[in-house]
Amino acid sequence: MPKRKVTRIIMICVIGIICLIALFPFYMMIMMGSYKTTELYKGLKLLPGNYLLENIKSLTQIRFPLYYFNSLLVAGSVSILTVLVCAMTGYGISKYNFKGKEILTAIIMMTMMIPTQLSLVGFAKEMVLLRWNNTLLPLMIPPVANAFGVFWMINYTKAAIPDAVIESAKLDGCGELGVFFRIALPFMKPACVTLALIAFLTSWNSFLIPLIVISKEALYTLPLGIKQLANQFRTDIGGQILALTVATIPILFFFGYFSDNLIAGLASAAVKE
Amino acid sequence: MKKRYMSYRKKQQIAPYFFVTPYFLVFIMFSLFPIIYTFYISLTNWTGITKPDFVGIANYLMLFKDKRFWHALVNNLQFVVMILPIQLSISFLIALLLNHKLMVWKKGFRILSFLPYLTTPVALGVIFGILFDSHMGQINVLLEQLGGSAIAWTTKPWPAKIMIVLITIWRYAGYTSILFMAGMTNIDPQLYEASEIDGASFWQQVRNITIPLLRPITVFVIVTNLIGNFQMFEEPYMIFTATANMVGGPDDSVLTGVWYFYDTAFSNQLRFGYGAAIGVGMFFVIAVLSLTANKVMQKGEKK
Repeated sequence: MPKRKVTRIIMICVIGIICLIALFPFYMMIMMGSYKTTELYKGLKLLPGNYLLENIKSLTQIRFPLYYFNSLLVAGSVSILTVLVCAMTGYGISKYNFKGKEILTAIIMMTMMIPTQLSLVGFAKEMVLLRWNNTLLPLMIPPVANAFGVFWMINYTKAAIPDAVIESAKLDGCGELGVFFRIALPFMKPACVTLALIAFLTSWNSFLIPLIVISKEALYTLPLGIKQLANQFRTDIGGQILALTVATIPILFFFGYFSDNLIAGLASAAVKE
Repeated sequence: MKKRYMSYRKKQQIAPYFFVTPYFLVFIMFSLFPIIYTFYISLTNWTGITKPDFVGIANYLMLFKDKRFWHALVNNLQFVVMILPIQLSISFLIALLLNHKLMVWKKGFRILSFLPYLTTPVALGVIFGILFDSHMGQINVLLEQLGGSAIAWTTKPWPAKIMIVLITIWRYAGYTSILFMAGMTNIDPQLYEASEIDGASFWQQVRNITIPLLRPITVFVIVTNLIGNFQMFEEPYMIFTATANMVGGPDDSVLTGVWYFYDTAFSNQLRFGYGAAIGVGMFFVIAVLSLTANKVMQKGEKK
Protein backbone atom coordinates (compact mmCIF):
# COMPACT_ATOMS: atom_id res chain seq x y z
CA MET A 1 0.00 0.00 0.00
CA PRO A 2 1.53 3.33 -1.02
CA LYS A 3 0.10 5.17 1.99
CA ARG A 4 1.97 2.87 4.33
CA LYS A 5 5.11 3.49 2.39
CA VAL A 6 4.73 7.27 2.68
CA THR A 7 4.16 6.99 6.41
CA ARG A 8 7.23 4.82 6.76
CA ILE A 9 9.43 7.24 4.80
CA ILE A 10 8.24 10.19 6.88
CA MET A 11 8.93 8.29 10.07
CA ILE A 12 12.42 7.30 8.95
CA CYS A 13 13.14 10.91 8.03
CA VAL A 14 12.07 12.22 11.43
CA ILE A 15 14.02 9.65 13.41
CA GLY A 16 16.92 10.05 10.98
CA ILE A 17 17.11 13.77 11.68
CA ILE A 18 17.00 13.14 15.43
CA CYS A 19 19.82 10.61 15.15
CA LEU A 20 21.85 12.99 12.97
CA ILE A 21 21.58 15.62 15.68
CA ALA A 22 22.59 13.02 18.26
CA LEU A 23 25.66 12.13 16.21
CA PHE A 24 26.61 15.64 15.08
CA PRO A 25 28.89 16.54 18.02
CA PHE A 26 30.72 13.21 17.71
CA TYR A 27 31.18 13.73 14.00
CA MET A 28 32.46 17.26 14.49
CA MET A 29 34.81 16.05 17.20
CA ILE A 30 36.35 13.46 14.89
CA MET A 31 36.67 15.91 12.00
CA MET A 32 38.07 18.76 14.07
CA GLY A 33 40.80 16.52 15.45
CA SER A 34 42.43 16.51 12.02
CA TYR A 35 42.91 20.29 11.76
CA LYS A 36 45.48 22.79 12.90
CA THR A 37 44.11 25.01 15.65
CA THR A 38 44.38 28.20 13.60
CA GLU A 39 42.48 26.51 10.77
CA LEU A 40 39.66 25.62 13.13
CA TYR A 41 38.73 29.27 13.38
CA LYS A 42 38.16 29.57 9.65
CA GLY A 43 34.86 28.20 8.47
CA LEU A 44 32.92 24.99 8.85
CA LYS A 45 34.94 21.78 9.11
CA LEU A 46 32.67 19.06 7.80
CA LEU A 47 35.45 17.16 6.01
CA PRO A 48 38.70 15.83 7.44
CA GLY A 49 41.75 18.08 7.37
CA ASN A 50 45.42 17.30 6.84
CA TYR A 51 46.89 17.91 10.27
CA LEU A 52 45.96 14.61 11.89
CA LEU A 53 49.53 13.29 12.13
CA GLU A 54 50.79 16.47 13.81
CA ASN A 55 47.97 16.32 16.33
CA ILE A 56 48.73 12.68 17.05
CA LYS A 57 52.32 13.69 17.81
CA SER A 58 51.16 16.16 20.44
CA LEU A 59 49.08 13.42 22.06
CA THR A 60 52.21 11.59 23.16
CA GLN A 61 52.59 14.17 25.95
CA ILE A 62 49.45 12.89 27.66
CA ARG A 63 49.44 9.84 29.85
CA PHE A 64 46.19 8.49 28.48
CA PRO A 65 47.14 4.83 28.82
CA LEU A 66 47.57 5.43 32.54
CA TYR A 67 44.20 7.19 32.89
CA TYR A 68 42.55 4.43 30.90
CA PHE A 69 44.14 1.85 33.14
CA ASN A 70 43.03 3.62 36.32
CA SER A 71 39.48 4.02 35.02
CA LEU A 72 39.33 0.39 33.96
CA LEU A 73 40.65 -0.74 37.33
CA VAL A 74 38.13 1.37 39.23
CA ALA A 75 35.09 0.70 37.04
CA GLY A 76 35.96 -2.98 36.70
CA SER A 77 36.25 -3.59 40.42
CA VAL A 78 33.18 -1.47 41.16
CA SER A 79 31.12 -3.52 38.75
CA ILE A 80 32.31 -6.90 40.07
CA LEU A 81 31.92 -5.94 43.73
CA THR A 82 28.56 -4.26 43.14
CA VAL A 83 27.17 -7.36 41.49
CA LEU A 84 28.46 -9.64 44.23
CA VAL A 85 27.28 -7.47 47.13
CA CYS A 86 23.90 -6.59 45.59
CA ALA A 87 23.21 -10.16 44.48
CA MET A 88 23.99 -11.44 47.97
CA THR A 89 21.77 -8.83 49.58
CA GLY A 90 18.95 -9.32 47.10
CA TYR A 91 19.10 -13.07 47.54
CA GLY A 92 19.28 -12.82 51.33
CA ILE A 93 16.27 -10.55 51.48
CA SER A 94 14.05 -12.30 48.97
CA LYS A 95 14.79 -15.92 49.89
CA TYR A 96 14.98 -15.83 53.70
CA ASN A 97 12.70 -14.76 56.50
CA PHE A 98 14.57 -13.09 59.30
CA LYS A 99 14.21 -10.46 61.97
CA GLY A 100 14.72 -6.92 60.71
CA LYS A 101 14.02 -7.79 57.09
CA GLU A 102 11.28 -5.16 56.71
CA ILE A 103 13.41 -2.39 58.17
CA LEU A 104 16.39 -3.23 55.97
CA THR A 105 14.18 -3.29 52.87
CA ALA A 106 12.69 0.08 53.84
CA ILE A 107 16.17 1.57 54.25
CA ILE A 108 17.15 0.38 50.79
CA MET A 109 14.01 1.88 49.24
CA MET A 110 14.58 5.19 51.00
CA THR A 111 18.20 5.52 49.95
CA MET A 112 17.39 4.95 46.29
CA MET A 113 16.41 8.59 45.84
CA ILE A 114 19.09 10.24 47.97
CA PRO A 115 21.63 12.28 45.99
CA THR A 116 24.80 11.28 47.79
CA GLN A 117 26.86 14.07 46.25
CA LEU A 118 25.54 16.51 48.78
CA SER A 119 27.20 14.78 51.71
CA LEU A 120 30.56 15.10 49.99
CA VAL A 121 32.07 17.37 52.63
CA GLY A 122 31.68 14.67 55.25
CA PHE A 123 32.73 12.03 52.76
CA ALA A 124 35.91 13.87 51.83
CA LYS A 125 36.85 14.38 55.48
CA GLU A 126 36.14 10.73 56.21
CA MET A 127 38.50 9.72 53.43
CA VAL A 128 41.24 11.85 55.00
CA LEU A 129 40.60 10.24 58.40
CA LEU A 130 40.81 6.76 56.87
CA ARG A 131 43.90 7.82 54.90
CA TRP A 132 42.04 6.81 51.79
CA ASN A 133 42.57 10.16 50.11
CA ASN A 134 44.97 9.81 47.21
CA THR A 135 44.20 6.16 46.82
CA LEU A 136 41.65 4.74 44.42
CA LEU A 137 39.66 3.14 47.26
CA PRO A 138 37.12 5.99 47.65
CA LEU A 139 36.12 5.36 44.04
CA MET A 140 36.10 1.58 44.35
CA ILE A 141 34.36 0.73 47.62
CA PRO A 142 31.56 3.24 48.46
CA PRO A 143 29.59 2.83 45.16
CA VAL A 144 29.25 -0.88 45.94
CA ALA A 145 26.28 -0.18 48.23
CA ASN A 146 24.04 0.43 45.25
CA ALA A 147 20.42 0.70 46.41
CA PHE A 148 19.02 0.40 42.92
CA GLY A 149 21.10 -2.73 42.38
CA VAL A 150 19.70 -4.41 45.49
CA PHE A 151 16.16 -3.36 44.70
CA TRP A 152 16.54 -4.88 41.31
CA MET A 153 18.13 -8.08 42.58
CA ILE A 154 15.32 -8.56 45.12
CA ASN A 155 12.70 -8.38 42.40
CA TYR A 156 14.69 -10.51 40.02
CA THR A 157 15.48 -13.28 42.50
CA LYS A 158 11.86 -13.50 43.60
CA ALA A 159 10.73 -14.36 40.11
CA ALA A 160 13.76 -16.13 38.67
CA ILE A 161 14.72 -18.69 41.29
CA PRO A 162 12.06 -21.27 42.23
CA ASP A 163 12.08 -21.97 45.98
CA ALA A 164 11.79 -25.69 45.23
CA VAL A 165 15.19 -25.66 43.52
CA ILE A 166 16.81 -24.08 46.57
CA GLU A 167 15.09 -26.51 48.93
CA SER A 168 16.10 -29.58 47.00
CA ALA A 169 19.70 -28.39 46.80
CA LYS A 170 19.74 -27.96 50.56
CA LEU A 171 18.26 -31.44 51.05
CA ASP A 172 21.06 -32.77 48.91
CA GLY A 173 23.47 -31.41 51.46
CA CYS A 174 24.48 -28.17 49.76
CA GLY A 175 25.46 -25.47 52.28
CA GLU A 176 23.87 -22.02 52.35
CA LEU A 177 26.81 -20.46 50.57
CA GLY A 178 27.00 -23.33 48.12
CA VAL A 179 23.35 -22.82 47.23
CA PHE A 180 23.97 -19.15 46.57
CA PHE A 181 27.08 -19.55 44.47
CA ARG A 182 26.23 -22.77 42.65
CA ILE A 183 22.44 -22.59 42.30
CA ALA A 184 21.21 -19.02 42.74
CA LEU A 185 23.92 -17.02 40.97
CA PRO A 186 23.58 -18.87 37.66
CA PHE A 187 19.84 -18.14 37.73
CA MET A 188 20.62 -14.46 38.34
CA LYS A 189 23.15 -14.17 35.56
CA PRO A 190 21.17 -11.90 33.20
CA ALA A 191 20.44 -9.45 36.01
CA CYS A 192 24.07 -9.58 37.10
CA VAL A 193 25.36 -8.76 33.63
CA THR A 194 23.07 -5.75 33.34
CA LEU A 195 23.87 -4.46 36.81
CA ALA A 196 27.58 -4.90 36.13
CA LEU A 197 27.23 -2.75 33.01
CA ILE A 198 25.27 -0.01 34.74
CA ALA A 199 27.72 0.07 37.64
CA PHE A 200 30.59 0.19 35.18
CA LEU A 201 29.03 3.04 33.19
CA THR A 202 28.27 5.11 36.29
CA SER A 203 31.76 4.61 37.68
CA TRP A 204 33.44 5.27 34.34
CA ASN A 205 31.67 8.62 33.96
CA SER A 206 31.94 9.69 37.59
CA PHE A 207 33.69 13.03 37.99
CA LEU A 208 32.80 15.02 41.10
CA ILE A 209 34.01 12.47 43.67
CA PRO A 210 37.35 11.80 41.93
CA LEU A 211 37.76 15.55 41.51
CA ILE A 212 37.46 15.99 45.26
CA VAL A 213 39.37 13.01 46.63
CA ILE A 214 42.16 12.56 44.10
CA SER A 215 44.92 15.05 43.49
CA LYS A 216 47.82 12.80 42.54
CA GLU A 217 48.19 12.76 38.79
CA ALA A 218 49.30 9.13 38.80
CA LEU A 219 45.85 8.15 40.11
CA TYR A 220 43.78 10.21 37.65
CA THR A 221 40.83 8.47 36.10
CA LEU A 222 39.86 9.37 32.56
CA PRO A 223 37.45 12.24 33.43
CA LEU A 224 40.17 13.88 35.53
CA GLY A 225 42.62 13.34 32.70
CA ILE A 226 40.19 15.06 30.34
CA LYS A 227 39.86 18.00 32.69
CA GLN A 228 43.62 18.36 32.95
CA LEU A 229 43.91 18.07 29.21
CA ALA A 230 41.60 21.04 28.73
CA ASN A 231 44.01 23.11 30.81
CA GLN A 232 47.16 21.74 29.26
CA PHE A 233 46.00 22.15 25.67
CA ARG A 234 44.38 25.53 26.17
CA THR A 235 45.84 26.88 22.96
CA ASP A 236 46.00 23.62 21.00
CA ILE A 237 42.33 22.99 20.29
CA GLY A 238 43.14 20.57 17.48
CA GLY A 239 45.22 18.36 19.75
CA GLN A 240 42.72 18.68 22.57
CA ILE A 241 39.78 17.55 20.52
CA LEU A 242 41.70 14.64 19.05
CA ALA A 243 42.53 13.60 22.58
CA LEU A 244 38.83 13.77 23.44
CA THR A 245 38.12 11.47 20.52
CA VAL A 246 40.63 8.98 21.87
CA ALA A 247 39.13 9.30 25.33
CA THR A 248 35.48 8.82 24.38
CA ILE A 249 35.03 6.82 21.17
CA PRO A 250 36.54 3.44 22.14
CA ILE A 251 34.39 3.14 25.23
CA LEU A 252 31.33 4.15 23.20
CA PHE A 253 31.84 1.07 21.06
CA PHE A 254 32.03 -1.02 24.20
CA PHE A 255 28.81 0.43 25.63
CA GLY A 256 27.15 0.42 22.24
CA TYR A 257 27.87 -3.28 21.88
CA PHE A 258 26.19 -3.99 25.23
CA SER A 259 23.44 -1.43 24.77
CA ASP A 260 20.65 -4.04 24.75
CA ASN A 261 21.64 -5.16 28.21
CA LEU A 262 22.11 -1.62 29.47
CA ILE A 263 18.78 -0.50 28.07
CA ALA A 264 16.99 -3.43 29.69
CA GLY A 265 18.44 -2.51 33.06
CA LEU A 266 17.80 1.22 32.83
CA ALA A 267 14.25 0.64 31.64
CA SER A 268 13.48 -1.83 34.41
CA ALA A 269 14.03 0.93 36.96
CA ALA A 270 11.13 2.83 35.46
CA VAL A 271 8.64 -0.01 35.00
CA LYS A 272 8.98 -1.34 38.51
CA GLU A 273 5.33 -0.95 39.48
CA MET B 1 23.46 -36.85 62.57
CA LYS B 2 21.63 -34.84 65.19
CA LYS B 3 24.48 -32.40 65.47
CA ARG B 4 24.44 -31.85 61.77
CA TYR B 5 20.74 -31.07 61.82
CA MET B 6 21.23 -28.51 64.57
CA SER B 7 23.95 -26.73 62.73
CA TYR B 8 21.74 -26.71 59.66
CA ARG B 9 18.99 -24.91 61.57
CA LYS B 10 21.51 -22.49 62.95
CA LYS B 11 22.98 -21.85 59.55
CA GLN B 12 19.51 -21.15 58.23
CA GLN B 13 19.13 -18.41 60.82
CA ILE B 14 22.54 -16.86 60.42
CA ALA B 15 22.80 -17.09 56.65
CA PRO B 16 20.54 -14.13 55.74
CA TYR B 17 22.53 -11.82 58.00
CA PHE B 18 25.69 -13.03 56.40
CA PHE B 19 24.27 -12.19 52.97
CA VAL B 20 23.11 -8.68 53.79
CA THR B 21 26.06 -7.63 55.98
CA PRO B 22 28.52 -6.48 53.29
CA TYR B 23 25.94 -4.15 51.78
CA PHE B 24 24.92 -2.56 55.05
CA LEU B 25 28.49 -2.30 56.22
CA VAL B 26 29.42 -0.28 53.14
CA PHE B 27 26.15 1.65 53.37
CA ILE B 28 26.70 2.66 57.00
CA MET B 29 30.35 3.55 56.49
CA PHE B 30 30.12 5.44 53.22
CA SER B 31 26.55 6.68 52.88
CA LEU B 32 25.05 7.10 56.31
CA PHE B 33 28.15 8.23 58.16
CA PRO B 34 29.07 10.95 55.61
CA ILE B 35 25.52 12.33 55.81
CA ILE B 36 25.65 12.60 59.61
CA TYR B 37 29.21 13.89 59.55
CA THR B 38 28.30 16.48 56.91
CA PHE B 39 25.45 17.67 59.08
CA TYR B 40 27.84 18.01 62.02
CA ILE B 41 30.39 19.92 59.91
CA SER B 42 27.62 22.24 58.75
CA LEU B 43 27.27 23.39 62.37
CA THR B 44 30.90 24.51 62.48
CA ASN B 45 32.95 27.18 60.78
CA TRP B 46 35.65 24.78 59.66
CA THR B 47 37.88 26.00 56.85
CA GLY B 48 40.51 23.32 56.81
CA ILE B 49 43.21 25.56 58.23
CA THR B 50 41.75 26.60 61.57
CA LYS B 51 40.25 24.28 64.14
CA PRO B 52 36.50 23.97 63.73
CA ASP B 53 34.41 26.03 66.16
CA PHE B 54 30.85 25.02 66.83
CA VAL B 55 28.65 27.83 65.54
CA GLY B 56 25.19 26.30 65.80
CA ILE B 57 22.83 27.19 62.99
CA ALA B 58 24.81 30.26 61.95
CA ASN B 59 25.68 28.70 58.59
CA TYR B 60 22.02 28.01 57.91
CA LEU B 61 21.00 31.57 58.78
CA MET B 62 23.69 32.77 56.40
CA LEU B 63 22.53 30.31 53.75
CA PHE B 64 18.99 31.56 54.05
CA LYS B 65 20.14 35.08 53.22
CA ASP B 66 22.70 33.99 50.64
CA LYS B 67 21.55 35.52 47.35
CA ARG B 68 23.97 33.45 45.33
CA PHE B 69 22.57 30.21 46.75
CA TRP B 70 18.99 31.16 45.87
CA HIS B 71 20.15 32.42 42.51
CA ALA B 72 21.70 29.01 41.80
CA LEU B 73 18.48 27.25 42.80
CA VAL B 74 16.44 29.57 40.56
CA ASN B 75 18.82 28.69 37.72
CA ASN B 76 18.21 25.00 38.38
CA LEU B 77 14.45 25.58 38.39
CA GLN B 78 14.66 27.54 35.15
CA PHE B 79 16.53 24.66 33.60
CA VAL B 80 13.87 22.20 34.72
CA VAL B 81 11.06 24.36 33.35
CA MET B 82 12.79 24.82 30.00
CA ILE B 83 14.13 21.30 29.63
CA LEU B 84 11.31 19.06 30.84
CA PRO B 85 8.50 19.82 28.35
CA ILE B 86 10.81 19.76 25.34
CA GLN B 87 12.67 16.66 26.43
CA LEU B 88 9.48 14.79 27.27
CA SER B 89 7.95 15.60 23.88
CA ILE B 90 11.04 14.66 21.89
CA SER B 91 11.54 11.46 23.88
CA PHE B 92 7.89 10.53 23.50
CA LEU B 93 8.13 11.13 19.76
CA ILE B 94 11.23 8.93 19.49
CA ALA B 95 9.52 6.20 21.50
CA LEU B 96 6.37 6.38 19.36
CA LEU B 97 8.39 6.15 16.16
CA LEU B 98 10.62 3.31 17.36
CA ASN B 99 7.61 1.43 18.67
CA HIS B 100 5.54 1.84 15.50
CA LYS B 101 4.84 -1.33 13.56
CA LEU B 102 5.80 0.23 10.23
CA MET B 103 9.21 1.33 11.51
CA VAL B 104 12.41 -0.30 10.27
CA TRP B 105 15.98 -0.51 11.69
CA LYS B 106 14.58 0.05 15.18
CA LYS B 107 17.60 -1.31 16.99
CA GLY B 108 20.09 0.80 15.07
CA PHE B 109 18.15 4.02 15.58
CA ARG B 110 17.71 3.22 19.24
CA ILE B 111 21.44 2.80 19.80
CA LEU B 112 22.26 5.98 17.88
CA SER B 113 19.81 8.09 19.86
CA PHE B 114 21.16 6.53 23.06
CA LEU B 115 24.86 7.26 22.43
CA PRO B 116 24.85 10.78 23.95
CA TYR B 117 23.73 9.35 27.27
CA LEU B 118 26.70 6.96 27.29
CA THR B 119 29.35 9.62 26.74
CA THR B 120 31.44 10.90 29.63
CA PRO B 121 29.82 14.19 30.74
CA VAL B 122 33.18 15.87 31.32
CA ALA B 123 34.21 15.19 27.74
CA LEU B 124 30.85 16.54 26.56
CA GLY B 125 31.47 19.73 28.47
CA VAL B 126 34.78 20.25 26.68
CA ILE B 127 33.41 19.31 23.26
CA PHE B 128 30.41 21.61 23.58
CA GLY B 129 32.61 24.36 24.98
CA ILE B 130 34.56 24.24 21.74
CA LEU B 131 31.55 23.81 19.45
CA PHE B 132 29.55 26.62 21.08
CA ASP B 133 32.52 29.01 21.34
CA SER B 134 31.15 32.54 20.90
CA HIS B 135 33.88 33.69 18.57
CA MET B 136 34.34 31.04 15.96
CA GLY B 137 32.76 27.86 17.31
CA GLN B 138 31.44 25.50 14.66
CA ILE B 139 27.83 26.05 15.77
CA ASN B 140 28.07 29.78 15.12
CA VAL B 141 29.80 29.14 11.79
CA LEU B 142 26.97 26.81 10.86
CA LEU B 143 24.37 29.39 11.93
CA GLU B 144 26.05 32.04 9.79
CA GLN B 145 26.24 29.76 6.77
CA LEU B 146 22.55 28.99 7.14
CA GLY B 147 21.89 32.73 6.94
CA GLY B 148 21.53 33.44 10.66
CA SER B 149 23.83 35.42 12.86
CA ALA B 150 26.33 34.30 15.49
CA ILE B 151 25.05 33.98 19.05
CA ALA B 152 27.09 34.90 22.12
CA TRP B 153 26.62 31.46 23.71
CA THR B 154 29.42 31.70 26.22
CA THR B 155 29.42 35.40 26.99
CA LYS B 156 25.76 36.44 27.46
CA PRO B 157 23.48 35.08 30.22
CA TRP B 158 20.44 33.91 28.29
CA PRO B 159 22.28 32.35 25.36
CA ALA B 160 24.40 30.53 27.94
CA LYS B 161 21.28 29.19 29.63
CA ILE B 162 19.81 28.08 26.31
CA MET B 163 23.08 26.39 25.41
CA ILE B 164 22.89 24.33 28.61
CA VAL B 165 19.23 23.51 27.91
CA LEU B 166 20.09 22.31 24.39
CA ILE B 167 23.01 20.22 25.60
CA THR B 168 20.94 18.59 28.35
CA ILE B 169 18.08 17.74 26.03
CA TRP B 170 20.57 16.38 23.52
CA ARG B 171 22.12 14.17 26.16
CA TYR B 172 18.97 12.76 27.75
CA ALA B 173 16.36 12.55 24.97
CA GLY B 174 17.40 9.08 23.86
CA TYR B 175 17.65 7.81 27.43
CA THR B 176 14.17 9.04 28.33
CA SER B 177 12.74 7.56 25.15
CA ILE B 178 14.00 4.17 26.31
CA LEU B 179 11.98 4.52 29.49
CA PHE B 180 8.89 5.43 27.46
CA MET B 181 9.48 2.48 25.13
CA ALA B 182 9.72 0.14 28.10
CA GLY B 183 6.38 1.47 29.29
CA MET B 184 4.84 1.06 25.85
CA THR B 185 5.81 -2.59 25.56
CA ASN B 186 4.09 -3.15 28.90
CA ILE B 187 0.75 -1.95 27.51
CA ASP B 188 -1.59 -4.81 26.65
CA PRO B 189 -1.71 -5.05 22.83
CA GLN B 190 -5.32 -6.15 23.02
CA LEU B 191 -6.26 -2.60 23.98
CA TYR B 192 -4.97 -1.39 20.63
CA GLU B 193 -6.58 -4.23 18.75
CA ALA B 194 -9.94 -3.55 20.37
CA SER B 195 -9.79 0.16 19.64
CA GLU B 196 -8.76 -0.55 16.07
CA ILE B 197 -11.92 -2.62 15.61
CA ASP B 198 -13.85 0.35 16.98
CA GLY B 199 -12.28 2.42 14.21
CA ALA B 200 -9.92 4.54 16.30
CA SER B 201 -7.18 6.36 14.41
CA PHE B 202 -3.49 6.17 15.34
CA TRP B 203 -3.55 9.54 17.10
CA GLN B 204 -6.74 8.68 18.95
CA GLN B 205 -5.00 5.56 20.22
CA VAL B 206 -2.02 7.61 21.31
CA ARG B 207 -4.23 10.09 23.14
CA ASN B 208 -6.62 7.63 24.74
CA ILE B 209 -4.46 4.58 25.40
CA THR B 210 -0.72 5.30 25.21
CA ILE B 211 -0.52 8.59 27.08
CA PRO B 212 -2.81 7.67 29.99
CA LEU B 213 -1.20 4.29 30.49
CA LEU B 214 2.30 5.79 30.41
CA ARG B 215 1.45 7.95 33.38
CA PRO B 216 3.52 6.02 35.98
CA ILE B 217 6.56 6.18 33.69
CA THR B 218 5.98 9.86 33.11
CA VAL B 219 5.89 10.47 36.86
CA PHE B 220 9.14 8.54 37.21
CA VAL B 221 10.75 10.50 34.37
CA ILE B 222 9.67 13.85 35.77
CA VAL B 223 10.83 13.09 39.31
CA THR B 224 14.19 11.64 38.26
CA ASN B 225 14.65 14.52 35.85
CA LEU B 226 13.99 17.00 38.59
CA ILE B 227 16.52 15.33 40.88
CA GLY B 228 19.00 14.94 38.03
CA ASN B 229 18.66 18.58 37.10
CA PHE B 230 19.48 19.70 40.60
CA GLN B 231 22.63 17.61 40.39
CA MET B 232 23.78 19.20 37.14
CA PHE B 233 27.44 20.10 37.32
CA GLU B 234 29.89 18.61 34.81
CA GLU B 235 28.75 20.24 31.59
CA PRO B 236 28.45 23.89 32.69
CA TYR B 237 31.52 23.52 34.89
CA MET B 238 33.69 22.24 32.06
CA ILE B 239 32.39 24.73 29.51
CA PHE B 240 33.15 27.72 31.67
CA THR B 241 36.22 26.65 33.61
CA ALA B 242 38.13 24.54 31.09
CA THR B 243 39.56 27.48 29.19
CA ALA B 244 38.66 30.49 31.30
CA ASN B 245 37.93 30.54 35.01
CA MET B 246 34.34 31.76 34.79
CA VAL B 247 32.64 30.21 37.81
CA GLY B 248 28.90 30.38 37.18
CA GLY B 249 29.22 31.48 33.57
CA PRO B 250 28.28 35.00 32.43
CA ASP B 251 26.67 36.83 35.38
CA ASP B 252 26.28 33.52 37.22
CA SER B 253 23.60 32.63 34.69
CA VAL B 254 24.44 28.92 34.61
CA LEU B 255 25.64 28.55 38.20
CA THR B 256 23.96 25.37 39.46
CA GLY B 257 23.44 24.39 43.07
CA VAL B 258 26.03 21.62 42.98
CA TRP B 259 28.50 23.93 41.26
CA TYR B 260 28.07 26.58 43.97
CA PHE B 261 28.47 23.82 46.56
CA TYR B 262 31.66 22.56 44.94
CA ASP B 263 33.06 26.04 44.54
CA THR B 264 32.40 26.97 48.16
CA ALA B 265 33.55 23.77 49.83
CA PHE B 266 36.33 22.54 47.60
CA SER B 267 37.46 24.57 44.65
CA ASN B 268 38.77 27.95 45.71
CA GLN B 269 37.31 28.81 49.04
CA LEU B 270 37.63 25.63 51.13
CA ARG B 271 34.83 26.73 53.44
CA PHE B 272 33.91 23.24 54.59
CA GLY B 273 31.39 24.31 57.24
CA TYR B 274 29.42 26.56 54.95
CA GLY B 275 29.81 24.16 52.02
CA ALA B 276 28.35 21.38 54.13
CA ALA B 277 25.40 23.64 54.95
CA ILE B 278 24.84 24.24 51.23
CA GLY B 279 24.87 20.48 50.70
CA VAL B 280 22.30 19.93 53.43
CA GLY B 281 20.19 22.82 52.11
CA MET B 282 20.24 21.41 48.59
CA PHE B 283 19.33 18.03 49.97
CA PHE B 284 16.16 19.42 51.54
CA VAL B 285 15.23 21.40 48.45
CA ILE B 286 15.55 18.28 46.30
CA ALA B 287 13.61 16.17 48.80
CA VAL B 288 10.75 18.70 49.01
CA LEU B 289 10.60 19.15 45.24
CA SER B 290 10.59 15.45 44.41
CA LEU B 291 8.01 14.66 47.10
CA THR B 292 5.78 17.50 45.86
CA ALA B 293 6.16 16.42 42.27
CA ASN B 294 5.32 12.86 43.22
CA LYS B 295 2.27 13.95 45.19
CA VAL B 296 0.94 16.29 42.51
CA MET B 297 1.32 13.61 39.88
CA GLN B 298 -0.28 10.91 42.04
CA LYS B 299 -3.24 13.19 42.74
CA GLY B 300 -3.78 13.70 39.05
CA GLU B 301 -3.80 9.96 38.61
CA LYS B 302 -6.73 9.40 40.90
CA LYS B 303 -8.91 11.92 39.09
